[in-house]
Amino acid sequence: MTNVELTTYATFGYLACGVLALVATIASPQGSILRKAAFGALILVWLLHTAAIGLRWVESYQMGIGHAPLSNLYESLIFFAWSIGLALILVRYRYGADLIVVIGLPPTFLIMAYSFLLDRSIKPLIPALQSNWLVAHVITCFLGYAGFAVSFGAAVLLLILRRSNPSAKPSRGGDILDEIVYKAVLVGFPLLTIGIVTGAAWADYAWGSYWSWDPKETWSLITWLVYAAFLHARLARGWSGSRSAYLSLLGFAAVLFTYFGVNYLPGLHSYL
Amino acid sequence: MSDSPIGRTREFSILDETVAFFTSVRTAVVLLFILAGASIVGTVVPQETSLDQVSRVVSPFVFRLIAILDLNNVYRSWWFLLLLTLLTVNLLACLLQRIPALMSEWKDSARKRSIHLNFETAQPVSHVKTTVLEAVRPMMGAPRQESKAGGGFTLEWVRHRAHLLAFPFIHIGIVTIIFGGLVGLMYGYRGHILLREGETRSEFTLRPSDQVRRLPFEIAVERFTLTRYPTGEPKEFRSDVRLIENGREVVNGRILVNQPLTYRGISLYQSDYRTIGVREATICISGPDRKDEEIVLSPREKVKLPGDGPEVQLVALDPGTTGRGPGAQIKVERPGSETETLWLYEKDAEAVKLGAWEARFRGYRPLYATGLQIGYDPGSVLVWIGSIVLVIGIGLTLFTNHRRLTVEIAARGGRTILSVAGSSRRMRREFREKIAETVRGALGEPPK
Repeated sequence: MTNVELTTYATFGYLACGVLALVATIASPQGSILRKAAFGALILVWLLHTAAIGLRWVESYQMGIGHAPLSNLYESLIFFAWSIGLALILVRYRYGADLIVVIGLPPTFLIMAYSFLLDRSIKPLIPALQSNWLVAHVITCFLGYAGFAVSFGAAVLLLILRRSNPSAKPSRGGDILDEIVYKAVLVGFPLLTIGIVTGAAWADYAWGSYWSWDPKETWSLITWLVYAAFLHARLARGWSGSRSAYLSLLGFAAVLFTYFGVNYLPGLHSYL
Repeated sequence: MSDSPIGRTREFSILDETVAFFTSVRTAVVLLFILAGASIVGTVVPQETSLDQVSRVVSPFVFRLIAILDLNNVYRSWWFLLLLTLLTVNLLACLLQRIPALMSEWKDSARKRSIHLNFETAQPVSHVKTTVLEAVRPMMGAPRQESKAGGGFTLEWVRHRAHLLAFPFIHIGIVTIIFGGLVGLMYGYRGHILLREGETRSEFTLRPSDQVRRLPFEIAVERFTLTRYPTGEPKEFRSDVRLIENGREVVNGRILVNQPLTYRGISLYQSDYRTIGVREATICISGPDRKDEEIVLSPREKVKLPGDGPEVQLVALDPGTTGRGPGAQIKVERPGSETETLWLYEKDAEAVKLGAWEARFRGYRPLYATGLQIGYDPGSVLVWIGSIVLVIGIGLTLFTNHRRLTVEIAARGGRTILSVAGSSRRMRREFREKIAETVRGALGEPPK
């Protein structure tokens, strides 16, 4: 069994989990066995995904070019999907919010499926990435991104619910969504901060400059500024509900641009 | 006051408004958005390009806009620095404004409690005190204060006061980072130096201005090595260097990607390399006795073949433009015969005859020039201190939670009354439920 096969199984596992979660959420009430089964299945698929990443790590050592599987776009997509899976599990566990899982799994599946189009073989590490900072930097950034992704998903749900039912007072479901929008950023923001700081430390160590205003750096700062504004608007100015949800959408747009968009701008982060 | 009330009020209100502006979170949010927008401009307009280059590709109006607003150098422009300054003042003002409240919360001088619960029981005061202490211990530890008054007790717990430091830490951290960046901008420099193997030099070019400057020491490059993976991708770039100060060698070390060399605060980083010539070529010769021998030829150096063989000299090298693989041009001098110039290629089927000798091309080693980046930034220490303080502050917000709990136990009319008051910075609802449950448990009441 190779890591690529395991990853493929996990990918279709996410698809199956998505369908199951959708059926369970529509057809059966909160706390029903079906819903619990859907959650259990998600955890199993995520563990499989974890095993696939671990196996890829082991395989790289067997090839004599051992390194953490975080070294190119393919590996980062797989890790991004893994982080989102983890975030979905945590949110479902903490808030019992099945809707978040329903809305979160299709993108997770699509990210995994998209990665099939890329070169899936294990490559040796180029000199620029041969550093212990790599693991700390990439893991914190992507866990942060996953937090923002969950906040985005909750914000989308919240806005849809508010729009479809504008006259009603915010229901309990709406309150939970609002809390998830906020709490997910509260987790993502420190992780992004640490991601930026470790990135700067690494850049200082490798390139002699902790900050070069390279597009990826700049866009990560823009993302950071937007979420900093989100937190201040929320904590000090009492923004909540739709307004804070729109800020979460804006922040996630910045995240996506930081991740994918900057590849169309020239810069130093050409490998990820 | 009665002298000139209008003038005073007016003066006071301008100061007031300025303070209000800088201590306002609204200002902070707006500044964050403006900085984000400004940063976007810098990723769209190519940075560190000269105005000459810009003028060639844009219309006169856009050119004027770019020139006036320094859009080709956003992050060093006057208005970007102004925005950063405003943000710094804003952060410091917010911090100063909130410090008194934080100190009062630290000392608990206002005794603010958002949670209030009351219980009543028939159990005696001293018994209730023991069971409450016991029940609260896992959650809040030992009480900080225990006082006795009028036949009753007041118990006070406090946890994680360090949580209150999170706000100052985060904001001081950010201000320190901005300040460190400013110091680097003013006193630091960056540059680049390209050194041939065997070269010793101290002049380098500053980036981005391209001015020539001199390092306080000389860099001597012994050798540059490029190692590849079996797949052909580069594995390691390495420069072996010596640093010479006042004619004396002070450092003998190596520079690799991700492994810079630092001397006197100036760091040298492996950044690029160039192939600028040939360092040596190896040819294999076999003499009249049919014994193979490898000889190494360097440019401008004659090698005498053993015995009465000719003198050979490397003239030129072809890295492989002919389809015959790489090759070397050599000059062959024999006493008493004409000087010959010949090409030897790696893929030649037959050896080239040099009289009684035969020669084949074996390989060559290019002469490299290594590109080193030079960095000096006295502000980076501040940036790291600021980052550490910022991360500690963030850790404090996430992993600590300032909570206070006060339980007053008093006897009234034959019954024991408990007044419970608490406060929590985070997760207030959970804290309230936990307290209620804990006290109820201590009194032996069933949970609700």
